[in-house]
Amino acid sequence: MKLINILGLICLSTLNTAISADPYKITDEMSEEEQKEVRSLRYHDKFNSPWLTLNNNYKTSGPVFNYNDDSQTRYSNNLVTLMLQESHKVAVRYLEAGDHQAYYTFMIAGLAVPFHEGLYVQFRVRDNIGNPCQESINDGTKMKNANARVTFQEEILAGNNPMALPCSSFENQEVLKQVLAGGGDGSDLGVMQISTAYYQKNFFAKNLIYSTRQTLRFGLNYVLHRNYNKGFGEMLANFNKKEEYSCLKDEAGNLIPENLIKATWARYNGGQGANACRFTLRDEEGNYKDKRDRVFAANLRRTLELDQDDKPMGNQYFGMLLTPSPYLKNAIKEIVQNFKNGTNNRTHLNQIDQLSFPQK
Amino acid sequence: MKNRYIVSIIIIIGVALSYYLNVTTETSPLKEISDQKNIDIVEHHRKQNIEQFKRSLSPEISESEFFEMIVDFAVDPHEILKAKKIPLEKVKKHIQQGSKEILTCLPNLCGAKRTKDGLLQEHATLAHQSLERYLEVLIANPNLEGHSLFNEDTFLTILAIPNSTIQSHTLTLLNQSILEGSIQVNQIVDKLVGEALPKLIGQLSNQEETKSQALDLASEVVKNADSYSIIILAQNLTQVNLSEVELTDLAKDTCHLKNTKGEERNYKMVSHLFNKKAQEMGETLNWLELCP
Repeated sequence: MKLINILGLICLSTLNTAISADPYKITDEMSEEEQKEVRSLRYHDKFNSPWLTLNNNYKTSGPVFNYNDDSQTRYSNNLVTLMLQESHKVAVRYLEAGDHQAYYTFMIAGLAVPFHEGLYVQFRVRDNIGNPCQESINDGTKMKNANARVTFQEEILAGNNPMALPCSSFENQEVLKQVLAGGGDGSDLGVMQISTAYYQKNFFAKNLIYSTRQTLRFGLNYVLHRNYNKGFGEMLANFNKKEEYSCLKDEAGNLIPENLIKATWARYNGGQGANACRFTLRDEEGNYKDKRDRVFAANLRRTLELDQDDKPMGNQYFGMLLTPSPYLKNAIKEIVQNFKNGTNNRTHLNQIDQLSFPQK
Repeated sequence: MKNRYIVSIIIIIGVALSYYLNVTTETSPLKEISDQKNIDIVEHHRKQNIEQFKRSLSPEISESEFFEMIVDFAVDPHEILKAKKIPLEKVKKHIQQGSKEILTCLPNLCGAKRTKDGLLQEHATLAHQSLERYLEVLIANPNLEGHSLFNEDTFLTILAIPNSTIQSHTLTLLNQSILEGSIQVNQIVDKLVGEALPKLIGQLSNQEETKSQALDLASEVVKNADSYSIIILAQNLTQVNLSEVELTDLAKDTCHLKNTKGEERNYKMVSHLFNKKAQEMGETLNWLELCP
């Protein structure tokens, strides 16, 4: 009986220690170095929950973010190039038609939405320390929506070489490759957070998620621009005639490009039937009625600051910072400045593969 | 001694409680799965997914083998009848009945709900996609005689669904009926969205007897439709069979965009797309002459 008592006490004490120990807690006793380490742990681990760990044999295409890389330049260059190329492919019709305001508006949306949705990351690798594989994400049981669960079972877990495996399969793997799996329950995947609940047939059944380029292409073209004829293209064409788009124009009837981006994202987020002017709604205290619109507005504002040298590209808190080479940074600056000033300077943009366009 | 027993019991309860709170609740989804280990998990989730949709349908439809393949997107609708030897009459009857039931429940989206993050593609729900797949089966299997599977009213109801894929598939099925005039163009034209309208115009332009109807319709669109519809038509001019004169006449009909405040950018886009069509035909459009 004494032995049981002792064992019980040991167990209880161990459990209580585990429960009470807060690995994120910063105390005054900690050195600056220790505090920095905890902060680092915070953003790594807080960003842990929405990741789906990939089967090692599942082939991916596109840049892979690695926290251990001292220089993120290669990753940044690859991702920024993909984003610019895919946005340009959608938007070049406006440039061809001589409407550079529409072109640069879409190019800004093409920078802001992947940042807001996916913090500029589709795939990452990280050390297999601290259980980065979440069982309920990897087996899909955390998903609330039944459509999403079916897509997950049929497209992510099925087949001879499934995209994901149970976490127990990764026990002996030192490094894990993961895809961003947000939406709170892992149901939205990749840098454009494509919904497994709604895009099984057109996206996941075609296994487009394997590729960052394909994911950007689908998100930017199929959802952001077209969105069942209720996306950027339709709003741009009809903003001055439809009452539902009253928030997209000023008193003189001119387009407010920033608002077009917000409206386009509202529908990207809420579907074709969503109120495009949702972002104008305020509660009694004057705050955004839908806080998602507030967050997007903040991320759009940050995107519009990318022409300033001291503004980082990405999110410092999550460690998802991009550091592209100067020629790409200059191209981004050019987009932002053209958007702000209504100009069409392409000195730097034309140097990027697939973005060359004669300057008129 | 008695106290020791009490302490022991409290400790054991404490340990058990801590374990329950910290471990069991964390891993409850896993537990559920292990409880279901004898069940085919894919099947289980599939049933959950279509459960709400099924509630809107009769058991005769929702419990059939054919329906299972319709809602299984991994199965190519072109291959369904090859994969399963289902008698054609049975397939016809199923599609007839299933489509009618979908049309009945669509006003309530056949059970579709917003996702947790608020997303709802209200004209692209599982029911819409199932209807798309019914139509794809009919297109892939002409021996099902899809064009005569429904009466005119039902076809008109399907064409009124604002989903351009459903509408385009239906137009493909009804090609002959439209060309022969048994489906009146004016009954459907106002309902068509996105690429479906250019598709109809393209169909009509390919037959001598209906070409003038196509031109009238195209002219009506570029003169009176909303700007996005004009752009979509201009984007899809490749499908429309036009002579140089017909293209020029149609281009002239877009001139109102040039002179309307707030439409300048749409005029630029439309004229650019017309130029592309002209280029394909080896022609050039002089817009200063067309729209002085």
